[in-house]
Amino acid sequence: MTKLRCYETFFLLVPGLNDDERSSVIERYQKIIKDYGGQVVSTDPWPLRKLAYRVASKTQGYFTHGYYVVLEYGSTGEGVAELQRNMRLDENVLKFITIKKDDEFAPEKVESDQPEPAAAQEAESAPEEEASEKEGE
Amino acid sequence: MANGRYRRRIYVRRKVCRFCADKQMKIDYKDPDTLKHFITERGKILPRRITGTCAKHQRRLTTAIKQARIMALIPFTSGHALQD
Ligand SMILES: [Zn+2]
Repeated sequence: MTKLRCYETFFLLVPGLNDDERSSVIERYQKIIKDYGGQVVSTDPWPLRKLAYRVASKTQGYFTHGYYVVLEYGSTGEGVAELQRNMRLDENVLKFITIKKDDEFAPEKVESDQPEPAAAQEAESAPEEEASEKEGE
Repeated sequence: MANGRYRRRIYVRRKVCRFCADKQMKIDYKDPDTLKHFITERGKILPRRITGTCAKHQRRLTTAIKQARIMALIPFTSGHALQD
């Protein structure tokens, strides 16, 4: 069996979803992780939050608010790839980023571990909102 | 935004890195309230000569700030930021 590593996926859901719809979206992603032999450590859905800038959806126009969710889990690389592939296709997911927190997955020590942000990263977002930093006025 | 240009934030000169001084303080891209201390009003990353952050923590900080920008937790620039 492929080795499990500790990952965190942080994603942004459209504001139009009700509690049940958000739960089912989150459960679907938890299931993908488990189906690929992984293990979910924690799920932290944030309350509705104002975004720092307008985020474009491929199908639903612009959003100024959204629901963030933090998913912490142990997974194989295949599991992460499948999770990200599904998020990319999901119009309810506006943005997502996956961070590798640790090369080893040990569920009992996940909480105390220092995150290693430089390790792995992938993000998806609307291109026009990703304007590079502009110098000057 | 228009009057923001002339209102300077007051930066307290720190001799030591805040993350070295306080081990409880974590660098987390999901924590925009902490990251905001290390960016200008325009959203640019403050150099460490101003904030006093050590090289190691500045590297982690810039990564976290960029990740937070990508996730729309903090703005890339003030130009397209949503006002409060
Ligand atoms: Zn330091």
